[in-house]
Amino acid sequence: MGKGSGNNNDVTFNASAKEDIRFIGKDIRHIKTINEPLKPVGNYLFGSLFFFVLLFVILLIPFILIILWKRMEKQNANVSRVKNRKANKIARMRLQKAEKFKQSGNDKGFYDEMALGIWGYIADKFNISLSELSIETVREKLQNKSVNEEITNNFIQSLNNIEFARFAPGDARDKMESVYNEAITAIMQAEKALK
Amino acid sequence: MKRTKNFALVALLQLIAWSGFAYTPDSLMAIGNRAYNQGMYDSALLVYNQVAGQDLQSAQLFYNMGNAHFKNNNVPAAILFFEKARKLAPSDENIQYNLSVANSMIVDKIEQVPELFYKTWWNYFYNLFNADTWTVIALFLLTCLIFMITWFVLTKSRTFKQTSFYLGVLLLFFTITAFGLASQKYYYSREHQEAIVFTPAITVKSSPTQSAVDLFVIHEGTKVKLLDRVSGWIEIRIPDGSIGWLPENSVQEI
Repeated sequence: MGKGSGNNNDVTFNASAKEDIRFIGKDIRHIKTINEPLKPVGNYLFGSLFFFVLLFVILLIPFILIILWKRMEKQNANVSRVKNRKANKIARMRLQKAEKFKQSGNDKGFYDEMALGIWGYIADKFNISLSELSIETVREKLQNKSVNEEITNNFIQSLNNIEFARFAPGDARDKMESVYNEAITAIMQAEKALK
Repeated sequence: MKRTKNFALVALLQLIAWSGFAYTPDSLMAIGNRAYNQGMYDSALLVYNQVAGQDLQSAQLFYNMGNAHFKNNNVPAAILFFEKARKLAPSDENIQYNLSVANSMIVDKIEQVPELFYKTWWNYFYNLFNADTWTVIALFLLTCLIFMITWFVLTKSRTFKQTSFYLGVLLLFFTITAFGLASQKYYYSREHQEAIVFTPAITVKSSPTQSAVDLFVIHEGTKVKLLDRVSGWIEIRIPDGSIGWLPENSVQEI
């Protein structure tokens, strides 16, 4: 048998012929070629004048905020006090307007104005917006002010009647009269109780 | 071709050396980098020194100077400048790597005294940012804390009061920590508290006189902590905790 030629062509490809990377030298990394901003030596933010100014301004923030807050609160209180005082007057004016609608035969206008009058009274009295009002909140607010049960119930009754009449078609004239009188007594009683 | 290019660069460098501050620091940096890339490390150092001579500094400048010294086989100087660079950019990976390469070439091998765990934690945060960054962080946290306190005072809701109280306590802790780190980093950066030995081999003495007892020998490139200074002598501590005195001119401060 003859001797093989033994050249490299006989070596088959081996897919797993992977090797670990061999490190053959060690050196430092290259210089940084992208310029960084140069700063003067010994220039530090800490302890500088700017630092203390900043510190002072930061410590001033709460005082400014508290002063602004207190001023806003005072203004709000003023507005609500005025509203509270005038609530009864405004409600009466609205009821008078409603009375005029009644005489001119404008039923819808009458009920709208009545509703606005009695709801608006509570809104002004307790400094809450009309959109937040509901029968429950009215009851809650009145009870919180320890208005007695009967007056509260009368008030709620009046509110309910107005709302009901407002959306129920075809009512008689005398019903409007009773709704009107009910509302006036309810507001009067409430005003007396809330004094 | 390469030769003429080199010649032109040398002429340019000569011109810089004569004309002094005619170039902006940024263009000087570019010229220095070009000299380094061509393997002219002495010239590169000359130009970098022009920038440093204008009392300007950046981590890049010190890092590049360290590299040039290293290529010139001046290991202690390389370590000195890498340490200076690390002071300005504590978390830069390239600086740390080159410093470790340079440190692997010095003679002294000193066992580090093991640190207590809280000190390791502290140092971790301490080395995260430089002095200015820590100052900004501290001021920012203080602002948050102040807002939280104001909120606590002004709010009427119980839940908000509770929330702002706990957040406030947490912020107070962080703010104090940040101010501590900022001030420590500031003093560390401003004062020279460490130095690199430049004499090939030197004997550490027991007291600041030539006739004092020899304690141990340290070699160039070793980093020492500075403790005290007495007329031409400095008291130093090496990482294993040993303390002694060296002539001031045998080291250079970082």
